[in-house]
Amino acid sequence: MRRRIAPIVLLTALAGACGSGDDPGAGKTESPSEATAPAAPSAKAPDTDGPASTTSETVRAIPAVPISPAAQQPAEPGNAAAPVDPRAERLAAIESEYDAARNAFFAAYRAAFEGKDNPTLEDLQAFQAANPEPELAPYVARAKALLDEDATDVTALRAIQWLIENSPSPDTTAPWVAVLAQHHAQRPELAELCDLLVRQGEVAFVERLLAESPHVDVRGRACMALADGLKQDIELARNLAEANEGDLEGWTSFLGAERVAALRKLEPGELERKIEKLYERVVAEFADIKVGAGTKRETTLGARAGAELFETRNLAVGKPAPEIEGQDLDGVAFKLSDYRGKVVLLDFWGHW
Amino acid sequence: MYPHERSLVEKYADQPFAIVGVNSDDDLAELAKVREKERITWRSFWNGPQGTQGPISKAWNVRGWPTLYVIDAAGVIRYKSVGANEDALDAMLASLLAQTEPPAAPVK
Repeated sequence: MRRRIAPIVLLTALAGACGSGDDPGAGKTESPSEATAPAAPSAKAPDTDGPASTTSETVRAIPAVPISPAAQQPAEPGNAAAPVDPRAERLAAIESEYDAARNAFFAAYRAAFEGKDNPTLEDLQAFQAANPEPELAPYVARAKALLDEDATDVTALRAIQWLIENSPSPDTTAPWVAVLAQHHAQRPELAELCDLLVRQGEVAFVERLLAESPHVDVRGRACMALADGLKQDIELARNLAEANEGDLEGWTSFLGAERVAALRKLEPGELERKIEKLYERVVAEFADIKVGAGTKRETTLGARAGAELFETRNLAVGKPAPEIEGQDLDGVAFKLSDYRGKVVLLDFWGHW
Repeated sequence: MYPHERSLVEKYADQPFAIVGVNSDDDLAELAKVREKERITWRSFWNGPQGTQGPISKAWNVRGWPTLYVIDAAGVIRYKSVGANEDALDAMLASLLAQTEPPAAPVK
């Protein structure tokens, strides 16, 4: 579940990775996520799955944008008792070999910079020259060969998922989504792919799933993913609006000029109403659908959408801040309203 | 973020300004070392042993870290951001503090 990072971004990401929390751009999301260019350049660490995440956490100048936790738990193909499918084995080999190559790359990075607080750009360039990032193309070719043999079985679906997850930029996902639409649009497994598809810009296909899937889980996850995706767009648009020239350059190399241009034209007000309607629809039609089953983030779409609506209605600019009552890090009770009369920077932070 | 926050604390020491954290680390002992090393002098709520799934971040629907809010002297939200854009944050704080009367008596 991880993506290649454009070299310039990788360099800044690597620089950030050494900042141990000091990096102003270091953002984290609650999902154990990956470096997904448009939507999740940064991810919270606690239960991430590998060094790629560690790097992505700290992409400088590209603040955190949350993604859904559900995207991280694709259903396993088949079950353990089923006879082993040689195609599934081949796909598993592609995935594990690519992961191993990337893990080796990041291990080399850690070994090179362990304990170095601020590696220079020259250090990073020298490192990259000596340790080229693993090439994705050979793995893509192997996954594509699986599809060329048979694009219709569950392994094909999982291969498409892997290809989409690992597409270096959203504009390279289209051929895989076309195969998905042609052979798999009716499958219940697509519930787990909605977040990923939206993140990769495949909004039209997810809208189609919301309208046409025979499975309520797929429609529900599609609805939620569309709303979450639009919310991220607003956040990205705000980040772009605030970005200085250097940040903008980073954003453009990360998101692509076309997407940056589209985001800069967004009308947040209009979009906010659309988002609210989608979350309301989730609450009305899909509230009981479970997400993140078996993880500590297990919840329902209704709970998630309800929290989003609460935020929209009560935590927006111009609204009175809700009270916080709690204990400080030394166990002493205090309240947010103790600070009335002062301008307060309220910082949800963690060191991890 | 810490150096910038330290600089804000310093810059606005004489003004009606405070940083209030909501910390989502689950290990307070480990965090105590970080607070000392990073000279984190400002106060934080603790989000509890569930870490990022704790009650305060849940109530505020925080799903990305850091999430920042700026609240004015009257308790109204004036700015929010997932991730830190220091320039935008500084501009907002400066403009709000320019409009905020220093308290007659020191505020706790």
